[in-house]
Amino acid sequence: MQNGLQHNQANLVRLAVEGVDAAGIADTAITTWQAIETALSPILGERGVASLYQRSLYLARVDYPWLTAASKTPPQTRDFVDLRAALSQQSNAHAAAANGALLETFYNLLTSLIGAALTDRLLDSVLDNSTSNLDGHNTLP
Amino acid sequence: MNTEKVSINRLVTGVPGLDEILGGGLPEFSFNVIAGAPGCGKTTLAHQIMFALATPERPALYITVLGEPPLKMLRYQQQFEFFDAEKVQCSIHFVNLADDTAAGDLSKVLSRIVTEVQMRGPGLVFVDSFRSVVLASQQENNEFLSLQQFIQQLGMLMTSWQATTFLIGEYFNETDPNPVFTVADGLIWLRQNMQRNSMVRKLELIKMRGQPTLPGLHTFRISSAGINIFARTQAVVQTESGSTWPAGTRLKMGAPGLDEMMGGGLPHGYSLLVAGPSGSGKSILGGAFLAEGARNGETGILIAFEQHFNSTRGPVIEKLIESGHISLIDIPTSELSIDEISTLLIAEIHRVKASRVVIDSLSGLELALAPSFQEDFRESLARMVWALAKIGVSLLMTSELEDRYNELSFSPYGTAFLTDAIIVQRYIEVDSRLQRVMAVVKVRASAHSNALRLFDIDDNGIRIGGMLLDHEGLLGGSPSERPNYKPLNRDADSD
Repeated sequence: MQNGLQHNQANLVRLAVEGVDAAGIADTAITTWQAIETALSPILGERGVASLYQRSLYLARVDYPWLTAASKTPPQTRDFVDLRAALSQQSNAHAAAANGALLETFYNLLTSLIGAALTDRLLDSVLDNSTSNLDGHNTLP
Repeated sequence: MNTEKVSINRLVTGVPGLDEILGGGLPEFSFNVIAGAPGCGKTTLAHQIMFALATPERPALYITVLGEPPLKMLRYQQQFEFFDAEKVQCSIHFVNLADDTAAGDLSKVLSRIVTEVQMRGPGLVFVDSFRSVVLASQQENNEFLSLQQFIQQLGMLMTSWQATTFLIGEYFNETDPNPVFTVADGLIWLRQNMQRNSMVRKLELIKMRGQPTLPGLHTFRISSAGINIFARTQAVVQTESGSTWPAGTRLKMGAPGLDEMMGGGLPHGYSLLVAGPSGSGKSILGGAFLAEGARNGETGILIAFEQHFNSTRGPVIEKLIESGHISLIDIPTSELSIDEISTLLIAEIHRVKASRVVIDSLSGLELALAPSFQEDFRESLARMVWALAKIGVSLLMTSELEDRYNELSFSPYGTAFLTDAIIVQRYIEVDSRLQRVMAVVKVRASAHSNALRLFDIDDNGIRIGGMLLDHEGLLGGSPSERPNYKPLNRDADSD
C-alpha cells in the first residue's frame, strides 16, 4: 500500500508539474479523501474516520501550518470543504506536497492503530482506484 | 408420504472445547446470544468463531453498534493468533451502525441490517454489542419499533436468509425476562468470578435448541491463541472406550519386594495413593513406577508441581524424559481448575499413548488451583480420578502427610476413599536413627500384605527390608524392644 500512496503522491506532483492549478490539485486530492471516507466509515463509523482525519491534520500541520485552517470546522469529512479551500490557496506544488504528507500521516496513523495488514485490506481498493483514476486524469487545462 | 426429518448441519466452531460442550458444533442458521459482564471475553469468542467459520462461500458480517469503538476492537482483536487480516473485506465484513443506533430508531437499525444482509448474503451475522440496541430502545419517548418486535423480526429475517446469528450483549442477570432469551436458539453465558486475588472464567450453555449439550460451568482461559475451554472432565470422558489391557493385568512398581506386598503389583487401571511425610520417598517411588513402565515399553506421564530443578528428579528419570518414555507436564501457572489440568492430561495421555500417570503431589496440585476450586478439591479430584480410570490409565498420586503418632490417617484431604490402593510411609525412631517404614494399607479387591516393612533409599532407588518383629509400638514413632520375642515361622512377610 505504501506503493499506492507513493503513486498517488507522484501523480499529484506530476499534475502540478504539468501545470494543473492548486484548485485542480485540491479537486483530485478531495476525490481520494472521499473515497477513503466511503471505504472506512461503514467499518469505523463516520465519527471514527473524522477523528483519525482530525488527528492527521493536527500532526501534518507541523510541516504545513496553514493546514490548521482545514480543521476549523467540526468534523464533516464527507465534503472536505476546509481542506479544499486550504489547498486551493497554496501554490500547486505546495498543495500537492501537503496533501501527500497528510495522506501519509493518515495512513501511518491507521497503521499504528490497526496494523499495516488490516489497513491495506481496508484501503486496498481506494488507493489503487484513485491511482488508476489519476493515471488517466483529464483535468489538464 | 415423505417422512424425512430435517437434518441440522452443525458448524464446527474451532474454539477448543466449545464443540464438545455444544454436542458437536453450532446448529446452522441458529440465533444465538453470547452474554456476560464487560471484559469476560464475549467479543473475543465471537471473533474466534467468526474467523474459524467464515469463508468466501460463507462470508461473515460483523455489525458493531454503540459500545466498543470498531477501531479499538480491530486493534485489540488482531493481537489474537486467530485474527487473519487476509479474511477482512474478503470473507469477513465489518459494518458500523453506531449512528443509526444512537438515534434510538430500531426500525432504522433493522432496515440497515436488512440492507447489509441482502447486499452481502452472509452465512454468519454478529451484532456487537446488543446491549446498545437494548438501551437505545429504552430511550424516552421512543415511538419506534419495540425491542421485542425488533428481536422477533431480526430472528425471523436471519433464519430466512440462512444466516447463523450471534447477538453479543452485556446482560448481568440471566433471570431477567428479556425477550432476547425467549427468541434465541442458543444462549452462551460467560462469567468471571473473583475470589481473593484470583479470577476464574467460566462458560455455561444455558440453552441450545435441538441438541444435547454438556451441562454445567466449564472453565476457560484466554491466551494469545484465543479462548480455550476446558469442558467438565466427567462429561467429556463419557465417550471414552477405555483400556484394551487384559483384565487382571498387574503393573510392577519398580521397587523390589513391593509387588509382593501388593499381592502381585498394582492392578492395571487402579489409582494408588502414596502418603507419607516430607522426604520419605514418595516422589522416588513415583519415579520408580514410571521407570518400570518404561522398562516394559510403556509410556508414562509425570505431572510435577514441585521440585523445580531438573536434577532433583534423578538421572534415570531425566534420561527417560529426554528419550520420550516419560512425558513431563510442568504446570506453568497457578490459578488453574482441575478441569484444565484434566484436559491437558487427557490430551497428553492420548498423544503419547500413556498407560501410567504420576501426579506429584496432591499438595502441589491443590496449591496450583484457584481459590474457588480449592474449596471443592475433593469433589474435583474425584472427577479427575474417575475420568482417568475410565480412560484406563494407572495413576499414582503422592500426598504429603505429616506423621502423627497418636492417630493413623492416610491423606490430609480425606481422599483415601477415592483411590483403589494406598501405600503409607512413616518415620520411626530405632536405635537413635530415623528409619523409614512402609505398609500397603489397601488394594481394592485384592489380597495384600499387612506387614510394616523397613525400607531404605540409595542410589538404586527404594530397597525394601524386613519387619521389625522384635520391636512394638512402631506407629507410635518410638518403638520399644519386645521382651522375650520369639519369631513366628508362619509369618510369610518376615525375612
